[in-house]
Amino acid sequence: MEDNSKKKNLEQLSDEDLIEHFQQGDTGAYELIVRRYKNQLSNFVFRFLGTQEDAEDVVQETFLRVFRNRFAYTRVAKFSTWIYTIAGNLARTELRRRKRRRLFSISSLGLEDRDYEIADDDLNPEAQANSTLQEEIIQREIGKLSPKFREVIILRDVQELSYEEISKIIRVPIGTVKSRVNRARLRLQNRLKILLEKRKPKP
Amino acid sequence: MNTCKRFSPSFSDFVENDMLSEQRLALEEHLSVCSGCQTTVARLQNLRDTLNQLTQVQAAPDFEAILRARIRREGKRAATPVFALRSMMPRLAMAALAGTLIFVSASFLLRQNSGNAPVAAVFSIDQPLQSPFYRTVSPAIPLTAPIFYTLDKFSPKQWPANRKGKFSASDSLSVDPRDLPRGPQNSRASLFSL
Repeated sequence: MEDNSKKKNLEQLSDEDLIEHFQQGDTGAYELIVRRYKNQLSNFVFRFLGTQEDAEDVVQETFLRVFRNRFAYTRVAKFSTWIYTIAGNLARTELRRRKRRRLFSISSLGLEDRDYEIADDDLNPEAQANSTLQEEIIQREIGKLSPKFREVIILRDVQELSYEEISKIIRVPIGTVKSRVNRARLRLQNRLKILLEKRKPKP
Repeated sequence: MNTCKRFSPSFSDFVENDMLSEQRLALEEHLSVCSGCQTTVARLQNLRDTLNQLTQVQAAPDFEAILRARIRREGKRAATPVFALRSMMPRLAMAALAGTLIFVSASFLLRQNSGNAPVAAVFSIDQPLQSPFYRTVSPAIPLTAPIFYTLDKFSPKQWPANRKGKFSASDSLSVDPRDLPRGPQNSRASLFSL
């Protein structure tokens, strides 16, 4: 009974308050942080790296670092900025590691290699297959962008973060972020011409 | 074509409705006569909506269980002295490397300076130039490295006129290497600083 009310109280706290509780030794607060961020970070890292397996490793490592370095966080920055910075740095390191090993080839992965969970959709099977294929194409084209363009377009258009927060996460001025987002969008729209002209966005 | 290039950096601001009204009017005016830019802007709008509607990838169902196991494993390791020492290894290695570098550079410079010749810029420390003590500096020496003092063999007369008088440590940055006396005594200066 007491546990339930404590849990309820924690759920009402902001991320910043939760990490403070965790710094004071409340592991329940940490679990709640994990629950709040695991999906959005998985989505961000998957869009950045292109494979679910690597994304999961990076997100796991991100939460491990939060656990280990919890006292390094101060309220100067938003908690989301801090955790996205950790995940982004780890994802970029993973990308460099892959590049060194020359293993990275998103195009070599077939549909059967992707084991990520897709949320239920009320589309019919044919439309769903078509939609999945389109997503494959979009993901492949995102993967072809250089990391600095890829990161900003995912943070802005997929994760819907503000320019200000993106600027803090990747530590570049807002003007540079805006310029990168614009250039990334122009490149992507150029590569996805046919698909974008056909595709009608969901209302 | 040039007009299109001028406007293209602000396409995203236009799509996100984040423009000053004056700039917006100018761009709208351009779009009304340029079908190419019109198409691009329409595609950008569509791209933004499409990216926003991509399937949200979820973490695996056993994500938290795996994380919990990893944290538990790490906790056990940290409690074991061998593993605790292992986790400190990178830091210890870095400290050892830094120490070795300082030692090697110090002994190298000491050997270089055994002939008492000035290595780079020479100046006195808050003492008149007539003082026999001059400090030898090199940008290659880390701040923590020992400071070597050498006896300068040059007489003050050999120094350029504008360098005569009282020098202080703060003058070090303004010493122009070209002002240094030339000759065999100074030939090693180029090795570090010139």
